[in-house]
Amino acid sequence: MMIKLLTSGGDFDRALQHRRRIAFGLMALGILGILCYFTLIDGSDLPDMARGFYLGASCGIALFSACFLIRIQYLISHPEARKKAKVEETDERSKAIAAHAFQSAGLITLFLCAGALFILVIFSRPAALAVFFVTVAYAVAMLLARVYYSHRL
Amino acid sequence: MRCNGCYTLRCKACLTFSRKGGPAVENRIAQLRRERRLSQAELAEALSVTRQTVISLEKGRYDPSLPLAHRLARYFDLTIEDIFIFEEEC
Repeated sequence: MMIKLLTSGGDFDRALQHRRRIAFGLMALGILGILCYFTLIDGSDLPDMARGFYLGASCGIALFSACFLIRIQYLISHPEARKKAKVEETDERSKAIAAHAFQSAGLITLFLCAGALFILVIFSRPAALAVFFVTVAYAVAMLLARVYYSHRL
Repeated sequence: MRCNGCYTLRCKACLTFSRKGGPAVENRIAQLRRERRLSQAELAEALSVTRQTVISLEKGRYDPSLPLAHRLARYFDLTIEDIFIFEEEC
């Protein structure tokens, strides 16, 4: 979703080429992560959860990029599928739906975080602080986006 | 329920007020499409949008952007005002 968002606009064929490069980059990152896990992290003193996270995240990135790459290759080599994908991606109603979904998800996250703060502060100070900083980061990001779009639009 | 366009109760000028949270623009897309014996899929392909978008446009659930309205008008060889009915606020 994020990759599509970053590479959308302009020529669809060029966007596909751009996405393919990103997919290769992500795959390299995933493979690097897996190699790092086996050479550096596996025998280290890190907690089990951290080691599991690094391995899982690296495998996830590698697997996602492989699937993404297959999909892009398919679109590049099949003009009919490419045309259909282009229409689906550039369709303005689909874009509006995605924008509304992002907006709603952001608002729900903000209010859930604010609500969770009142509960977490009783049980766990680190968790409450983490949620607090997520809320602050969201508010700052929204403010910056507002300033940016007020100049752009 | 109050109209979001003019804030009066059951406003007849702003035809659809409760469904979308704003006054919608009525359109003749379905009528024009039927007159030309086109399917929704054919119209969607001609406009480079999905069939779901055509369905939403015809039902008045979604108001098109200016470029899409312009494409529609050009496709039917009409003006935007011939296709979309902009109701005056009361």
